[in-house]
Amino acid sequence: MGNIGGLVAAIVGVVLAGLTVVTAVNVSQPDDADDASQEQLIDYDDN
Amino acid sequence: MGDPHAARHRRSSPATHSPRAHGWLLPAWCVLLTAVVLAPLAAPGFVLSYDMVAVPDQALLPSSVGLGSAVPRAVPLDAAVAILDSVVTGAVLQKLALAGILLAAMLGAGRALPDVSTGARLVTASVYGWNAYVFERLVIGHWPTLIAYAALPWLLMLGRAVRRGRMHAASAGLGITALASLTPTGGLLAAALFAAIVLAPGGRQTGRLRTVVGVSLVALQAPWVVPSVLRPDPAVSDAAGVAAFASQADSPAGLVGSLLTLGGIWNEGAVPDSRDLLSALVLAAVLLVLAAIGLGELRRRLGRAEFAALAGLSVLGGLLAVAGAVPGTAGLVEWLVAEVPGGGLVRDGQKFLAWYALLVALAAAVGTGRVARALPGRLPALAATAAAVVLPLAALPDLAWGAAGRLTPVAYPAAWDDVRAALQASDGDGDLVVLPYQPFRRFPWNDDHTVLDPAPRYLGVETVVPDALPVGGVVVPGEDRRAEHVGAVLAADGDNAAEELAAAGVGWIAVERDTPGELPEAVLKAADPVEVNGTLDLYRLPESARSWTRIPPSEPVIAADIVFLAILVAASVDVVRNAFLPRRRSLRSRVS
Repeated sequence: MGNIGGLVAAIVGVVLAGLTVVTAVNVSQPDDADDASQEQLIDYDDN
Repeated sequence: MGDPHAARHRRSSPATHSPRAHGWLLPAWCVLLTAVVLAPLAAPGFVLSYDMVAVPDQALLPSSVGLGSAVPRAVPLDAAVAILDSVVTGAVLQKLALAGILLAAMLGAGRALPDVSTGARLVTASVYGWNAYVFERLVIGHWPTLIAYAALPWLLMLGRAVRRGRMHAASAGLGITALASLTPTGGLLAAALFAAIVLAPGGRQTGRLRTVVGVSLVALQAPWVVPSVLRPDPAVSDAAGVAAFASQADSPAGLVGSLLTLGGIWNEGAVPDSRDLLSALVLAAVLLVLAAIGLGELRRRLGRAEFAALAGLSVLGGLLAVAGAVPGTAGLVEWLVAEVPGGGLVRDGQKFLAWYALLVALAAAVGTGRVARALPGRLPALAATAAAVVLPLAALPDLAWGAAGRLTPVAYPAAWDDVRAALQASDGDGDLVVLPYQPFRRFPWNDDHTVLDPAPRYLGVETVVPDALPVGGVVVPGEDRRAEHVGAVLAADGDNAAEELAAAGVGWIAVERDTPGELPEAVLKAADPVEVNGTLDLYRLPESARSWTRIPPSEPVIAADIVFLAILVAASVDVVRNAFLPRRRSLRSRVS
């Protein structure tokens, strides 16, 4: 029972580590150029 | 007084050994996380992001305490900043405030659970200090709301102490609530939690103390309530603001999933990029699972009253966050906003997730403890706890480094100082209008980030500020009738505009030349140039400005501020007195 628990924990740990890497890699990708809007009225919600 | 339940867990879990031996870990972790978030702010300058505006030396003006035509949204915050930036510069004050908020939030959360391991304290600190709510409210510049957010775990602890008969904890609670009440939203968040815990049935607090705390919590809101109620124009808002500021899905999990994972702010520009990622969502969901695992045990650890207060407010916050975004309830919120004075506070309901954030942080820590205890052996338990400590960072890596560079200090152009000096040196009457006449700016020297116009605070004179907000292509009308009238005069740009502006109490016009927006050419042609540098130009209107008197009466507003200060000072004195009292008693007993 203990071994199974440890195995499950290890698998969960590996999955979480993988998700962490995927998140970090994707979030560090450079964004598209954030061109400022040329609108004369500046919007509070500018996206 | 030890909790036998907690003691049993302490014995059974390897991750919960000798918390005091590792007492330095929690503050060290909190300092480290704060430094990782705010590192770019070590550079000189001011962070200007949406509503976050800081200036070198904000003036103490009548409008700082609500004696103006605008709705007192930043009252008495503006007065507090004006006083404090006489002690340290505005830039230092801003950085101290932001660092203090993050540090206090994490440290408070980490200490909020009695009788838990250092690992659990670190998990609570991480979850509470490093989440989408903190990111989004930082970027949109709602740092006064975050003051209340940082106060919540401390108020939880102080409320608990009051219920256990430590009456002097009430003073500390009132002092902290006073700090949170520098803005209306902050006041509501903090006062509601402290009131819910202290006033709940049971506990050892006396009836008299309940009355004192209850009355004081209401009185602390007087600086913004009194000018709101007594202003000549009603303090109701336009119903269009409900849809404009409604919570939005900011992750693949939809609206409810976004809110459950502490995101969902209405402004897409304030949303971290990582919220788009499925991997980040799964990591955030794991934290929720841990919180769900820990919820039952958290209830037993906190006790019925304390848990009911926090859970009840969490549910209320969730309902407020959802209400404006769901067709069935949005109509009710619109009615509240448009018909009930002060009802505008419930728009942008996502801000009320602050209570829920504390519940999630505490429950996730307890849930982590349960998982760790279920694992075989000390090493897997430690590994699980360590994973939970860093999980919030993994789920939201872009909070690091000034929210991925969004919070970066900049310097104002030198021309702004020249105009301020020219205004201070003048003896002309009348208030200022800053053009282009719209609330937000996009300066090249601020990397074209959208920011509330800093000029009204920078230039140190009373200013008519447009409060109609362009949001998502819709202009949400403001509450300031004078600002609306001035806007109409400027838009018409007629031959008699100068006289009409003077009749509205306007004597000065400043023009920011490096931000988008239309300018009323006829008005400027009729005005006398005072300081023209091509960046921020200052003009004087030829007509003598009338003084504007449609503002709240000064006596009750000042009385409200005196009441606020009296409670703050009395609470502070009591806290200091009690901090030294045990020491004095101890010395006396040693002598005897």
